[in-house]
Amino acid sequence: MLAYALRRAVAAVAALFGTTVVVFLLLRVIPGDPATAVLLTMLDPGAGSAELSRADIEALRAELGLSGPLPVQYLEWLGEILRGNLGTSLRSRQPILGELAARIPGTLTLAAASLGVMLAIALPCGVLGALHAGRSADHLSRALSLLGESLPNFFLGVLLVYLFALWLRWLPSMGWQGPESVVLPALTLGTGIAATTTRLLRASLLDTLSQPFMLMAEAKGLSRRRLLFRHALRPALIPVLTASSLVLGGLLGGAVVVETVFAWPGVGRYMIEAIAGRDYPVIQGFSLFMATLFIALNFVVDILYRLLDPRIRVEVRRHG
Amino acid sequence: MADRFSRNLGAALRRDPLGAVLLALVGALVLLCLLAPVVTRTDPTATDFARMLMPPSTGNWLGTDDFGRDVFARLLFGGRTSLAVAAVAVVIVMGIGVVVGIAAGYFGGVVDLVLGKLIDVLLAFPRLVLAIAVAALMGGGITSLIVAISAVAWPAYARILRAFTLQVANEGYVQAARTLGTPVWRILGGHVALNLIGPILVLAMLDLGNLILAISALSFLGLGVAPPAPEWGAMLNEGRALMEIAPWMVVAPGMAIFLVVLSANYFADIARDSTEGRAVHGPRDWIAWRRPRAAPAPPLPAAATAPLLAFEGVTVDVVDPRSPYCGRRILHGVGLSVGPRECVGLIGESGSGKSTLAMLAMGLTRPPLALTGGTVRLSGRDTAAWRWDDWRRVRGCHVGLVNQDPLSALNPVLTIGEQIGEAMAAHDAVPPDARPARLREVVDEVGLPASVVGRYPHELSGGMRQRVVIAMAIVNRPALLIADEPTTALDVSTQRRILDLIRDLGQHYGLGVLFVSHDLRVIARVADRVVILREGRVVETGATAAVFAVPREAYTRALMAAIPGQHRQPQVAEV
Repeated sequence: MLAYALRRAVAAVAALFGTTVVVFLLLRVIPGDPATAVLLTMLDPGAGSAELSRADIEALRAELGLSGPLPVQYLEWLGEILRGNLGTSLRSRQPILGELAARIPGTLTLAAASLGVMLAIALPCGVLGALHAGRSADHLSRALSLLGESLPNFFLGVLLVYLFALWLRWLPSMGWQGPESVVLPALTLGTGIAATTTRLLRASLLDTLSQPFMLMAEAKGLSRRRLLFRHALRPALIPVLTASSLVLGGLLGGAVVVETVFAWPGVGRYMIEAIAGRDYPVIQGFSLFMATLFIALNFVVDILYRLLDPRIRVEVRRHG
Repeated sequence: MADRFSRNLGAALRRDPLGAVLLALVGALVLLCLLAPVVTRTDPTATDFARMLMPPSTGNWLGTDDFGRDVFARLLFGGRTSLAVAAVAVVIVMGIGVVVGIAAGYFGGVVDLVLGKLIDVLLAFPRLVLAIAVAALMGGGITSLIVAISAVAWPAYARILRAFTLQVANEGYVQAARTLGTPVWRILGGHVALNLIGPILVLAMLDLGNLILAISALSFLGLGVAPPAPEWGAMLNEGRALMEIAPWMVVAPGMAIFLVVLSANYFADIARDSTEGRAVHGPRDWIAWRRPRAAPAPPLPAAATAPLLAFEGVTVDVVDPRSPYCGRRILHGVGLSVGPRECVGLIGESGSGKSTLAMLAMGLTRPPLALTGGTVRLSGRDTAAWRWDDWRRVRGCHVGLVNQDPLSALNPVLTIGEQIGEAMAAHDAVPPDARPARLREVVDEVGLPASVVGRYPHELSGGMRQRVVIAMAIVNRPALLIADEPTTALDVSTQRRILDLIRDLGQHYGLGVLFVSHDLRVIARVADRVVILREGRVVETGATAAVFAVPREAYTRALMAAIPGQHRQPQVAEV
């Protein structure tokens, strides 16, 4: 177990370094000079780059870490990040790490609540769909997951706000006004990823139920409960976990959209606000944070996966 | 895959009015968008402050927005943008994905390593997050939208196409072309690419919905086309603050996106669905809402004069109307019985219905098959009225099953000890305090080391796994054992040992055995009596020695003649 976890951890750290390279290069491969673009947003609309002073541009290039040879730029930038310095926001002039940290609980709350909504929907719907394959419960569960996957979450969010906040006045529509505020954003984000998970779980459980070992288990005279929970569900969850990075990616990407719809105090909205001002350091810091969170979540899934599937356990024993 | 896809799609549309309606709706919408300048003469960006926020009317079919612009015109022109971006993005994504995937898969080595690492790193970001970051860094606009979407979508395709390429590159004809010295570009362009067209099209179809969702999400966040030009995601964003006064501003673009994505996903779902049509195990009523009523028949009496298993005029048909074989008769009035301490060999070629008969003895007949005539008796009891819960108390306790393929007969995530132990726990045949001892005993009886109890199935060989299956079948000391081709999947030397084990255990426990096989030599080794089945009918039956020595029917004689090494004919029983 420890050897496996260690190997996954090394892979995760390697992936993290890869993401820093991508985030670093992104700012440098986009067409045009970033510093000029930033300074232009501070002028009146319609002003040309001729009105900018060379000194201002050079000063900002230095601040953005854009001067000097590329490898040196990268190492200096990476050194700062490893020391916990993500740079300074161009608009607020505050350290980005602090500004992000203040908003991380918001995003994590939303993500956790959405995962809860997802599990509450996807587990029963996926299982029921597979057990009643081809019957009405299955048709209903498939129709719902098709709707859930196809309804854009920004559209669903706006509809939910209209229905529950503006019309029925049951729940607050915007921002954080107490714990009940999380209900609508979590429903919006959770139902979308629940649809994907339901489909995956249904297909996987159906596949497991048609395996010969299920016939043998039934031939032993096991009870319904034992057949389902002990024999069918555990092997069926393994492929679902394999595909979970799809779901987790949808969760984190969707969080940015949903935070915008609900004016939710999280990192996604912070980032969207930074776009208009071309606050490049904030965009970079946000990308790094989301990649880190994504890699960390996938790491947790890898560990869970191993606990579920004994076949991996042996492979590890042999190789390490 | 492409063939299956088009076949599935064609059949689905005929069977599926909903799909046809959806296709017609989305086709009409796309056509209206493409022909927008012809359909409406209204300029989608012309403001008219005298006509702000007008509800839908004959003049403005979908009302007007807060600048007095016609929402219907904006919807059509906005759709052109959304769909054009999606189309361009699909082409770019596929282009990069195909080139990178084929290069990595075909050349391997350093090329594969470098491209593989690039793909890995890009996939380490949540897709939409990276797209937002790229679009944000580029400053928005239609070009940055296309670049952002393409940049994040290609790695997943490249990875799948790499796997396809690896597969195709190892096909015989590609290897042959390589050996003949065909230039690489011709191999890649001709042989490899042509084979990948099908998978590529299916992939594009499967992901089109997600692509359109991502495009409209970026536009919604203000990273798409610059206002005042219309785009569906952007229109929704403009309208959401006015949801209460002008819901049409949100509902029109929202429904448009929904409709397009829904139909893409709907057809992707049909194309993807290959799990249908396979037999699913377990009770049909998985969720027993009411407690099952008290089972009338089992447990069976231990000592009865009646045969353990008796089929009388048993008829089985394909009854599921969805099956292409609906109405076909699998068993025609078959009669057969197995007495205590007797081993009956059931012989038949594949398709003769012998496995169907074996499953009938366990109450495991599954749709599309059903018992349509005759009776199945266990220890003299008619099983016709038995429900799943009645059968459950008999299976594994009075009747044990050993199946054909030991590699797939055991649950991969449970230990051997757990899988044998639960057979005892499900019944009362072995008292709880005697179960650990019985587990050790039965493992020893089937010739396995005691350490096997804590192991998982994948750690065992095929022969060992079949011994585990036998242990599961006999642990509750049943009266009857159904052995359905128990040695077919094993190699020859293992076959013989498993065969001897079943025969010895049969004698030790006084089991009645129904032994199903297509292999006459196997049957000759174990059976007291044989029943020969052909196309669902009993052809001949009698004591093993008699049938093998003097076959009465022509079919039996043909079978005997087909045994390899036939010139030493009388020694059959010695094989």
